[in-house]
Parts: sequence; C-alpha cells; structure tokens
Amino acid sequence: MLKFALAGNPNSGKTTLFNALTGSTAHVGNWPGVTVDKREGTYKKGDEPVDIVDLPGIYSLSPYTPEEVVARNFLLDEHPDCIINIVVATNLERNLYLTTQLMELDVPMVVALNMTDVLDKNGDRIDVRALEKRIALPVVEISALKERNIDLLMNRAIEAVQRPRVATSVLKASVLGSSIANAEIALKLKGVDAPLFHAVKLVEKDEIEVQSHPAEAKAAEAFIRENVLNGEKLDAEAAIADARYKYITAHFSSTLTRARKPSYDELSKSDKADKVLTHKWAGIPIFLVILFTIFHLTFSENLLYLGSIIPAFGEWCSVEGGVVKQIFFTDGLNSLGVILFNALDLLTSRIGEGLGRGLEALGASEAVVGLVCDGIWGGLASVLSFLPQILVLFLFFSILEDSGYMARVAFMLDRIFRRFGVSGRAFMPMIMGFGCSVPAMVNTRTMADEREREATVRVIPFFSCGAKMPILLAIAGGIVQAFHVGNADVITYSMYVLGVATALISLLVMRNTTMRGEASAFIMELPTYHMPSFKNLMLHLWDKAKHFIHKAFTIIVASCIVVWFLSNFGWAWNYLGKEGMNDSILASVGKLIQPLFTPLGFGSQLSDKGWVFAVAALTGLIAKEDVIATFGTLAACISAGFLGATEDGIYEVTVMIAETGITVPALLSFIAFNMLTVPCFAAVATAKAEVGKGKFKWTLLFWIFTSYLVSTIVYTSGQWWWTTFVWVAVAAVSVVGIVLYNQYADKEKKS
Amino acid sequence: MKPIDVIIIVAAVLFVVGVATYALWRKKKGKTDCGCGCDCGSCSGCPSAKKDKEE
Repeated sequence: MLKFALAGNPNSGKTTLFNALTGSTAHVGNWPGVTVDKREGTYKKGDEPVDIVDLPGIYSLSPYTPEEVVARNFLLDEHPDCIINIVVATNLERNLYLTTQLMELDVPMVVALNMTDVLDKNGDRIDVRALEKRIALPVVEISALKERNIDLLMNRAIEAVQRPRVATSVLKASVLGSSIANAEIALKLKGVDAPLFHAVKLVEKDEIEVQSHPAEAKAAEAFIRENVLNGEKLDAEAAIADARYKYITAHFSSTLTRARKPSYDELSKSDKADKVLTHKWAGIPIFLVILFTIFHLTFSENLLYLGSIIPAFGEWCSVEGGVVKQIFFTDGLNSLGVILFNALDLLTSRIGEGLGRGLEALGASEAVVGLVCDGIWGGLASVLSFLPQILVLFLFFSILEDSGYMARVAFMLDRIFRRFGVSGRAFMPMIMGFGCSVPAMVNTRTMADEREREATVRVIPFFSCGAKMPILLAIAGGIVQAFHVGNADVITYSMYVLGVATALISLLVMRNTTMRGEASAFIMELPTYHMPSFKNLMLHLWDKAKHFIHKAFTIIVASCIVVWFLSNFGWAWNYLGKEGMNDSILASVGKLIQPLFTPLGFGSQLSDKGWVFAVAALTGLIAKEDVIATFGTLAACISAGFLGATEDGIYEVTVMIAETGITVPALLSFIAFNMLTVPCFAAVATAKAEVGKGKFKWTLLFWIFTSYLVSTIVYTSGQWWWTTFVWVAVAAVSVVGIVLYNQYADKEKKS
Repeated sequence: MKPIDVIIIVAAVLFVVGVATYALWRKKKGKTDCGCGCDCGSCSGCPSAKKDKEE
C-alpha cells in the first residue's frame, strides 16, 4: 500500500486534511502543537487505498522538541512514497521555508496550498502555474476545512509517485553552496541515504548530524574555514536560513498578488480584537470574566441573578411546581446546563421508578429490585445526569479553542507562568487537562525542557477533568440545597480556581527545589481569529460524550454492582438489606479507613454513616465518576432505608450527605481531595510512561501528599478560621526554607 | 428465588466478570486503560495505544 506523509508548519491544517482524507475524527485545534505524534489512517476513495500519516507540525527539519523529532525521523527513516506538504496560502513565504528543506529529500512531493478560501476572501491571488514552474513541484489549491480539491490533491500525489524525484536545494548558488556539494559527495561515498539533505544539515552544524557523521562534519567545517570564510566569522545556521528566505523572496513571492498592499499602520480584525483581548493589564481579567461567564451559563440555578434582583420572582421560583417549573426554575431562571441536567435527572428518576414497578410486576424479590433500581440504576443515573452540563461546558471551551482565543491566553499567561518556573507553552496541555488528563500529559511533549515538562505532567491532574465534574457539581449542589450556602456556579468556579492555584504553587515549589531551572523560551505563532467550525465543535462534543457514556455503561455499572453487593451483604455472605447496611462488608472496610480522613474533615468525626465518604474516595481511584456513582448507589439505599426519603435522583445524594453530619468545609475538602489526589488508572499509566518508571513513584507520592495537605488546609481554615494564620506561618517558614536551600544548593554547585 | 431473580443476579455477576476480563485483556494487549476504545481524538499519542500498534 502507498504511504503518504502530511508535513507542514504547526497549525497549517494537517489534521483537518487528515480527517478529510481518511474520514477520521482526530482532535483539531486552532493553535500550534495539537498533534504530538504521528497518526495513521487510510484514504479509500481512489483506485487503491493509500496509507496517510499525519505528522506533528514543524517549522524546519532541525528538531528542538520531542514531537519535532517524530516528524523528522519519520520523513528520513520510514521512506514515505510521497510527501504532501501543506502550505498556508495566506502565509506563503514563511511556509515555503520548510518546503525548501523537504525538497532536499529524494522523495516525490506535492504542495497543498491550504486555506485558499481565506485568500479568495481577502481578494488575493496566487499564480499556481508560475509557482509550480518555479518550485518544480505539483501545486494544488485546497481548502481542508471545506474539503475542496481533496481528491485532486490525491490524484496529483499518486501521479507524483510514478515519477521518481531527484533532491534539489535552493542553496546551491549561496555562499555555502560549494561546501554543501563537497559534503554531499562525501556522504554519497559513505552510502548515506538522502545525501543532499544530510549535507545541508552537516554544514548547518545540526547537532544530530554532527553526532552521526563526526568525520564529515569536521571536514565540512575545515572546508568552510579555508574556502568560504577567509578569516571572517560566519554563523552557518543563520547564513543558510538567510539564503533560503532570500531565495523564496526572489523566486516565489512574486507569484502572490495582493488585492491591497498591506499597510503597517492598518490593523486587521484579529489585531483589533487583540488590542482588547490581549491587553497588557486588561487581558487576564477579561479571561477570568469570560471563564466565570461560562461557568455561570453552565451551572447557575439563578441566571443573571434575576431571582435575587427581583425577590418576587425568586420566591415564585422556590415554590414547588409542575414539571416545567422543576426544569426551568430553581432559585431563578436556570442556565442551559442546569435545564438539561434537570430534564435528564427527571427522566432517569422516571426510568428508575418504571424499572422498579416492572420488576415487582415480574415478581422479583426485594433484593433484586434493590440491585437493579438502587445499585445499578441509582449509581448510573447519578453520573449520567451530569453529562449535559459537561457537554455544555466543553462546548464553550471548544469555541474558545477553535476561535484562536486560547492560544492568546497561553501567550498572555507566559508572563505570569514564568514567575512559577514554566513558560506559557505549559498552558495548552493544562487547558487540555480540563477535558482529560491523558491527552494533556501526552501534549507536554511540545515542551523542550525536560524538567519543565515533568513538572507540568505532575500538575495536570489538578486541572479538574470532565470525569471529576460530577463530584464538583453533586457536592456543590448538595452544599447549596442542604446547607443553603452560596451558589453552585460560584462554588464550582472556586474549586476550579483552587486546582489552578495548587498547580501554580506546586510548580513554584518544584522549580525551586527538586526540579530547579529557568523557564524555557516561548515562541508561538498566534493563529488568526476565525468562527469556530460547527463540524469541529460537534466532533469535540461527540468525542467527549462517547467516552463518557462508554465508561458509564462499562466500568461504572460494574463498580455499582460490586458496591451494591458489598453494601448489602455481611461478612457471613448474609443479605442485610437497606436497614442492615451499617454492618455490611463495605461499611466495615469504610470504617477501617475512615480515620485516615479525619484531618480532612470526612473521617471519624462523622456519624455512623460517614464511612460512605471513605468508600467513595477509594472507588474514585478506579475512575473519578465512580465517586458519585458510589454515592448514588449508597444514597438510594441509605435514603430509602434510614430516612424514608421519597425524593429521587441526585436529591437522594444530598439527603445522604446531610445525614452524615458533615460540615460545609469538610465537603469542600472532600472535593479538593478527589480533585487533587491520584487520578484514574489511565492517567496514572500515562504519567508513568511520560515521566519514566524511576521518577514515577515520586509523582505518585506528590499527588497523595499535595491532595492531603490542601484538603487539610481547606477543612481546618473553613472550620476554625484562626488556623489560617497557622497555615500562613507554615507557608512563610517553607518559603524561608526554600530560599535557604537554594542558596546552599547554589554554593554547592559553585564549589 | 424466582427465575427472574436468578437471571438478574447471574447477568450482574457475568457483567462484572466480563468488564474485569475485558479490562485485563486490553491491558495484556497493551491497549489503553481509559476505556476509550482506542479511537478517541487524542489517542494517537497515547503510550498504551502505541504498544498495541507495535504488537
């Protein structure tokens, strides 16, 4: 089967083209560095199938970061039959820089001029025929997003494969041309593949090449010294880059005709938006306001605080009413997320009731009805109810990402992040962590500094992922309903902020103690703002929903069944029922580990039902959704058994929480613990792979220690306000300790 | 115990055993633990998914 590689600059639309060619649904984002590893798919529309490989974006074939190494190694070692070089039509000169390097490989190549729709919109035009002639490569105008000329591109690529291509370089006429020719001869004699490419890199003093061919590197250096420099100094890398750009300007730039000459004083729409959104002082506050607005639109039960502003309306909303009132009005007008949540919660409650009646009609025993309705459905429904809110939140995040705003936030945060020891580059994996820690940890490969990368991997789980959201929402809802404290959206937002603050403080400590080092340089090309693609948004949401539902109907259901059995049977394997739950296997295990959580507020100080928190924290290690699923299963039994509650759905969880005698600070501490502690199995496995086996045990200890410490601080500070001063004193002593340690370490290093 | 009780209990036990076996099988095959079915949008860079490809 033919194998084609997609190569191009970061954020040039390679993955969008890959999806269009292969029908895949790979994650596409409007920022550089989304793809960190090669990805394969098959193009099936032609006469024969073609293997398509999507490579991480690169600006040149001299790699600095792990994902750039992946692209270079693939192009050099895997010998693709053809390279499809994606060139952004609106940024021709800069993109052709990579093209001039790819031309130095003996591989058939086609240039795909992407985003030509944007070019047309601007009224600009590229003379494709002239470009084709000058570059000596087939050039096809495409729009990956609108899937325009995709099949034509593939046909041209298949045609190109039939004609073997000889490598050429635009540097032959440059000052280093003779040095490159000499090095090429030497490498040819040595039998090296793609000798022209390697010769250029040798002259450029590329680190990898110098290590691979030390003798030829020395010879090339001596040749340059004797024949080119004549005693003058020359930076070979800079000279080659300069020669490439000069050639591009001289030969290719004239193929572009602009409708209007660009004026340096005239601002584009993107520039105008950036003047406000990335303003030096207002940029970050605007970002925080946008985030809060998103949380408000997703989680608020009192939209725009209308219920508080108009007391009569608020009172009307709080009085119980029919189905419509239950769904749309809680403390005021509900937000979209809450409306969908209420509707689904109502639906799952009705299904639960129907299941119970159906089983009773079939003559099922009380235990089996309990297993299905309380055990399986109670747990599953309590998790599933949160799916709409998760999707609404991710819809907003995807809009921000796709529009190009998130890349700008990374740029703005660079200034702040540097004070914590990492560059703004760390922001993109961190923001991905809000979705799922697994791809976020993998995405840290775009970071060049190894220590900075490891530190970032460690703090990614602190950015509350989608799986942790049900914990946040259920407990925040419980606090509001059972204790009448605060608003659900404010509590949720605050807990997210706590996660981010913990991550930043942890980074500061790590980068000044065990992982010392300066933040690496951060250069990122800012994408232009554009309207998010509806298809991409839906793909993002589908991806999230599919994963969530798959997990809910496999691991979560299985966990619910196990939790129900263990909470309804005693050690003698005797059925205890709802009334005897406190003597069950699960209760005894929960009571055994309960004291561990006493400093955190949800340990031995709770009533005899307090063991549910210990058990939920334990099951959360399998999958974070399990925390609320366990609550759902146990609440269905506890509420009905002990309390005789008639309420259904997530309200049962609230009733159970209130019955344990837990306080608000302890509930916040419970959220903090689950948010910051060891993540799910998948994230743990990924962290192990990313930081290495040796360092992984420290990462594990770091998670346990941090979650325990932060939760203790949250609980004690909330419960006894004066302890805040104790924690401030501890923090001050720690800062002094770190400063002294650094001074000592610096002295040691110098000596 | 009525037939419906037996059917539901056996189905529940089989389900748990099935999920556990499937998870272990996936782990042995080197697939991801996240249960995404290895077709999630960000899967290509996933270390476990890679192991599966190499096999």
